[in-house]
Amino acid sequence: MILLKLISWQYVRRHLLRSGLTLAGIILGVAVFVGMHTANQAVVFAFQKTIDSIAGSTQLQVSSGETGFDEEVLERVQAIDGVRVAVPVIEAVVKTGLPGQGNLLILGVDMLGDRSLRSYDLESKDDNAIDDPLVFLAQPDSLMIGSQFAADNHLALNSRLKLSTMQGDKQFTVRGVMKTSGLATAFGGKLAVMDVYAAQKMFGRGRKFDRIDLAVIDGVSVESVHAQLQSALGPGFQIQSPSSRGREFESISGIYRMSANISSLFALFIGMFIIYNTFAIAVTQRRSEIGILRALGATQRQIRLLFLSESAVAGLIASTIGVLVGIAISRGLAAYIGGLLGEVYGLADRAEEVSANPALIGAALAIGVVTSIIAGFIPARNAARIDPIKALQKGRYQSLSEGENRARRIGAFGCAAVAIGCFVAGAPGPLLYIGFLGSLFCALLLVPALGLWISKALRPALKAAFPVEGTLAADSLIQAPRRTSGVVAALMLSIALIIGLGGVARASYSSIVRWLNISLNPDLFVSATETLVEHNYRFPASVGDQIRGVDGVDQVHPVRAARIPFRGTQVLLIAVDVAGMHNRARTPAVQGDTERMYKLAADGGGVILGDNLALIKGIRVGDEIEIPSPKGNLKLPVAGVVLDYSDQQGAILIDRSVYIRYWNDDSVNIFRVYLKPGVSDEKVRQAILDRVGGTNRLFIFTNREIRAYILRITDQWFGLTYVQIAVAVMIAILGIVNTLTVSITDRRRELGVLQAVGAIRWQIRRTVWIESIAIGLVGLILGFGLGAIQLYYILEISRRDIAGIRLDYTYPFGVVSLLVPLILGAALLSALGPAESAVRGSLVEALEYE
Amino acid sequence: MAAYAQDARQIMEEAQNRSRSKSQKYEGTLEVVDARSKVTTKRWEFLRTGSFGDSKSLLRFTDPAEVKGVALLIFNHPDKASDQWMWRPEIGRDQRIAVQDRSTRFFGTDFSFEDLEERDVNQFDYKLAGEETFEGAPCWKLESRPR
Repeated sequence: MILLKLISWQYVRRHLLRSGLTLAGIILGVAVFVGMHTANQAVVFAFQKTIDSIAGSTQLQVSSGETGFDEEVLERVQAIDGVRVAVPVIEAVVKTGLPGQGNLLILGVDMLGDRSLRSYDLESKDDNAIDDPLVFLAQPDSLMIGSQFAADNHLALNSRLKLSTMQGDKQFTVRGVMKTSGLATAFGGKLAVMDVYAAQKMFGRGRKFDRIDLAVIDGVSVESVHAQLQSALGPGFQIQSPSSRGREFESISGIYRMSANISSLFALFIGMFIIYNTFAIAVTQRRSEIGILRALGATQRQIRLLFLSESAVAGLIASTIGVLVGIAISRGLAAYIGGLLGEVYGLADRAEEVSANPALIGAALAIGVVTSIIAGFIPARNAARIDPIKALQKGRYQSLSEGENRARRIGAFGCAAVAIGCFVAGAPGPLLYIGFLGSLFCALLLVPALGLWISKALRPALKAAFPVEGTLAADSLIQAPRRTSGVVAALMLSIALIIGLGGVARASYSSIVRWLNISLNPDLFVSATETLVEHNYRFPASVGDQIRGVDGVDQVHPVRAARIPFRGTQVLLIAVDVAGMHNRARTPAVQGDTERMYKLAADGGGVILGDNLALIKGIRVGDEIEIPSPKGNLKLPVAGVVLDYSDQQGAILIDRSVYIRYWNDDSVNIFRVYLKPGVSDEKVRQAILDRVGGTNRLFIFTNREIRAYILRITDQWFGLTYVQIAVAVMIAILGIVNTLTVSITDRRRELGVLQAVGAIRWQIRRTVWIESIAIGLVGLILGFGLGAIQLYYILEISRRDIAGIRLDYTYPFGVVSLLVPLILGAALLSALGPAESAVRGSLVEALEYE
Repeated sequence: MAAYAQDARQIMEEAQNRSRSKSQKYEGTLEVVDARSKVTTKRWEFLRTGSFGDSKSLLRFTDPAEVKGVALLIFNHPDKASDQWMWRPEIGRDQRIAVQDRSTRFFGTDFSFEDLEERDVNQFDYKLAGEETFEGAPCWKLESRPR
């Protein structure tokens, strides 16, 4: 502690800027980690809170994916021994049109039995309108709302509220106001209760329910009722506790948690190299100080502990700042993730309460400190090994050990051999990850040697362009590769990460556009929702006949899509008229024979799988799969596999006739409309609106609009990738600034000598600038090389273990062309301060330095 | 009737015998007094056909306008609980009243849906609680408790 105060603190005080820059990597890494996790937890917490508030005393919930089920299931559930009360539920998220209020969650319940499960906690229950269930039931426009929502929107009993329903915009009447507690707090307080049968009609459910909530008789075990229900209803129904629904949501939002982990791990990993670089140079600079300490009796262990303690303290300070920054950005991130989940999955909720979890803060601090200690380990070991006699001799510190280069090269070749071996073996199972790490460590170990070679290769060009300054800059890099190897490694990793992420984004875009061109070719899409991902709104099948009757319409293909559970995940079931679709959208099979695939599926004798689902679940053409339906398991062989990006969890395509037979549901989410040649899509759109829009809620998209919509969602999805790229760029720039600041301080004597022998300030400045640009160039070259390898692994990991989506390997030259000016420009900007510092200092002090 | 005056059970049996008919129709008024002593009034008509214990009844609200047409159809069975459905004209559909919901309040009154079922005299114990005059007619006041 005394040494920290007397020695380390004095050093930090003299180099505050450098110390701050050193910590930046850890700060950024920890901030991303805390920010993303806190935001993710807030979104999950909000969803769980909504589930809990709505659940009341519900012990089990019966559902059948997003397809809903017939009303008769309610009677079957109520007839099970041990069921005390079972009530039907419909949930719909609707637009209010109220300024600043966004969506309202409509909870449709059976007002007769529901009070046995949920307490409505009415604000003024003695009021006639509230305490008159007959009026509430008799009038399908009846709503109960929370008092806070009522106050926010100046609503009271008998106020009118316009909501968007399947029959167009409808006026509803507030016939009850709940206290702001329990149920009324669900969905951020933006919840309204109405009668379930009225909700069926208003929100296009036909005679189906979304869910049944139930409670068991006191003394009866929930597990036994669960078993009875599962046996009575069959595999097409999910019986789960309300908390399980929260876990399902958690698993979906887990994708973002994984993304956050990758971002923060990379930031920390890169930050580790920056810290390593700074500590390595600090050890070199403080050799004489270490020599004095050793001469005064300090042991090697004490010196090692001193430097490790410095690392730990630096890590603790950086992590603390990172935690604060992370908490500060978490609210914005929570809004972003919540919005994205709403757009991509139709799961919308508001994260009102964002608070950091103490365990998360503890983990973040630990990660930051441990990273910093790891980064400081080698410099601390080197410091402890310094010979006190040599350390006290001026000038000797400039000589650098070359012996360890051999060990590095041997290690690098070993890692390369492992990576190549894994690649040749096709990288099955964990070998993919071993190969990935092998290539990464190979590159890291080779950084000093490769950096040196590239610097030597650059020297003639630099000399030709700037005879004096170019030569001096190149020589500086060649003579002190260890000074720059840390930052070059950090830069290389950052750029490789950018190439990898940019490559995945580019490959995804091109694949999605190709899929859009082949599969999404109708002229118009008539949808029951404006988001396309919410499947609970649907048209009656008769709307299709109305659309067919519109002048200019050639063909209308109804599509019913809904998520259903399949082998442990929620996948998208798409029911279409396969024969009709095949005539107009000829999506080729990537597995199986295309013609046979469509014929079998159209006859109801097989299913078509999206390739991501086939890959993730290991399903091949010809395999028989079991799809749970309300009428039991539907067993069909896989007729073929096609490229499909309808859903990230995967899609199963079946013929509509099979769906109607097994799900007893002929409703439609989207009509794919093909027009006759030469007909204007805008005119037909208006004609459909005129004919069908008056009595139905509908949204009509042209082909251009649907493409723009899908690409916008793709953009939003990659928003986090862009955040990762931004973090990588920031760290890369920080690394350059840090290294140059250190480098200039380290070379004050050398630069002083140059000035003393006649170099003018302009030449010194240019030397520093060129050196900085050369560091950027070395980092770019190595980063582009490593990025090419990393892109292969990221695509493979993404295909095999994350999304199952097959993406073509396409090197992102667009990203490369952006990175070159960005990194070199950043390098030049980074050099401005240190260059001024190099020429502004006192010549005498510079010559006296060290 | 004086002969039965001391026997509550016999009073009930006689009342049940006298109301036996192939069909029945009456109009009723429902007054609900809430906690603030505010009174709301609804009117209904009641139709019944079939013999006691195996009858079909229809209770239809006629006033006020916002509840007009809402109806409750009851099929009574001698050996099991009745079947009940509610008709809601505004949404044009029926709704089955589940047995589990029969004990809930009948549209904000102190009655339950269960109270609308036909009951057998043997299902209850009776006690004569006194005699009163109601609208000028002498009446027995009976206390009835389910067995």
